[in-house]
Parts: sequence; C-alpha cells; structure tokens
Amino acid sequence: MSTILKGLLFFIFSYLIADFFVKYFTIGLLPDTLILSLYGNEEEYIDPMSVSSFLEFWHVEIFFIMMILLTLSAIYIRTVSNVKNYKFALNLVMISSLISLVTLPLAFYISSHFVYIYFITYILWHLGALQMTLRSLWKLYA
Amino acid sequence: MHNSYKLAIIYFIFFSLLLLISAFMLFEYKLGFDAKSISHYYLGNELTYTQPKTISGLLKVVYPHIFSIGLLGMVLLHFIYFTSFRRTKMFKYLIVGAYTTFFVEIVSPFFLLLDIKVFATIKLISFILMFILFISMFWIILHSIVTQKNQQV
Repeated sequence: MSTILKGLLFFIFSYLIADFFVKYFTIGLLPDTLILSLYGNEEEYIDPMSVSSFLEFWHVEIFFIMMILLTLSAIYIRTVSNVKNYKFALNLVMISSLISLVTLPLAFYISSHFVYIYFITYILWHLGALQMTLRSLWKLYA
Repeated sequence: MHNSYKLAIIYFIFFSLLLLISAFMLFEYKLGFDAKSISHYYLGNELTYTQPKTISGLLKVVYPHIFSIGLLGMVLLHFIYFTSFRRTKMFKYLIVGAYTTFFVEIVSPFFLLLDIKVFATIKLISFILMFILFISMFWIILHSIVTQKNQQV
C-alpha cells in the first residue's frame, strides 16, 4: 500500500508543479499577466477573455482542484494525523483554494482587485499542498 | 472514522457546491433555462446566427462529462454509504435515480440532434433533477456529519 501511495503522491507533486507552468503559459501566473488575459488590452490589440471561455476554464479548474485535494487530504490524514498541528496545513490549503476559486469569477465580473487575492491564495494553496505531499512522502519513507 | 476525514468531506462538499454554481452559470449562459433556447443552442438559429452543433462538437463536451459526472456521483454516494441513510430503502432509489438522471442529462443532446424536439425539455428537466439530487446528497452527508458526531460519518 505504501508504494502505491508514494507513486500517487509523486504524481500529485508533479501535477502541482506543472500547474504553475500551465498557468504561466495560458492565463498568466502573476497578477499583471492575469489581468491582461481577463480584460485584454486595446493598445496591444489583446482581446479580453470571453464569458464562455472563462466559465469553461473556471468549471474545469474547480473539478480538478477538488479531486486533487480530496485525494491528497485522504493520504495526508492517513499518514500524518499523529503529528501535532497537521490540521493547520489541511485547513490552510482547503480554505485558500476555495478563496482562490471564488475570487476568480469576482475578478472577472466585478473588479480587477480580486486578482491580487486570487494570486496570493493560489500561491498559498499550492505551497500548502506541496508541503502536505512532501510531509506525507516523508512519513511513508520514515 | 477519523474526525479529519469529516473535515475533508465538508470541504469537498463546498467544492462540489462551487462546481454546481459554475455548471449553473454555464448552462444559463450557453443554453438558457427554457426548452426553446436549448433547442436553438443545439439545432442552430437563423435569427441569432447560431450554427447547429455537430456530433464531433457535441462529443467534445459530452466525453469528459461522462467520466467526471460518474466519478462525482460515485464519490458522493460512497460517502452516503458510511451514513445511516445506507440502511434505508431510499438509498437504492437514490443510486439508481442519480445515475439514470446523469445518463439522460448527458445523452439527451444527441437525440435533439436527431430532431426529436422533446429532448430539449428532457435535457432541461434532467439538468434540474441532477441539481436537486446533488444538493440532496450534500444535505444527507452534511446532516450525518453534524448529527452523528462520534459515529461513522
């Protein structure tokens, strides 16, 4: 069982790292590039993201994040639950990922200021999830 | 069951709720909540210059949903399996009803492309029913977590 979990954790770790690159090359990772993708720029002849494309992107994003985090949290609880303060990382990752998913449509529909909250929570949940993955791997190898 | 699993399940339900909201918004934006606009979306409309959907275009949307809706249904139903609801007769009806509704919701556009207009209404009804079923599942799970504190889920 341990080897199966190690393999899955390796793939979750790879997915989280790859996600940084995917975002960087698609809608943008940093707030400035993200704002450019969402709202476009008339001077640079960049079209804003269409409502349809945005909703499809958001929909897929929610599904992948929820499945990744459900799987990761199940392994994390199984392996690290005897360690003090393990719930902190779990709550941090879940809450920050939920906020990042909620702020994305708020940024698209209401105000570009939400992009900054999205960026902070996006980085936060990724780092938290990477830490959870490494901590679980550490426990499995110990 | 470990208390933290309950925490993870509660978060999962919040994510699922967000997924339903995004699905609702997509449906409202692309298809609309009446049989006529659903029919226009799939069969095209000269007045709004909407092209009819092709089989390959439809498959691009349907294909990922076949697996993902089935998976989401399985995850939620397997959470319910750990609750006292499992012992009721309703649980079997919920499983059969849920998977049947998901299937009808997914395949109905293909029949609409065959110009069987009634499937626009069937698509709409199955979509609403799918929402009701998902929300019922959330409620059963959350209710069980809140009321059965030190038991299984």
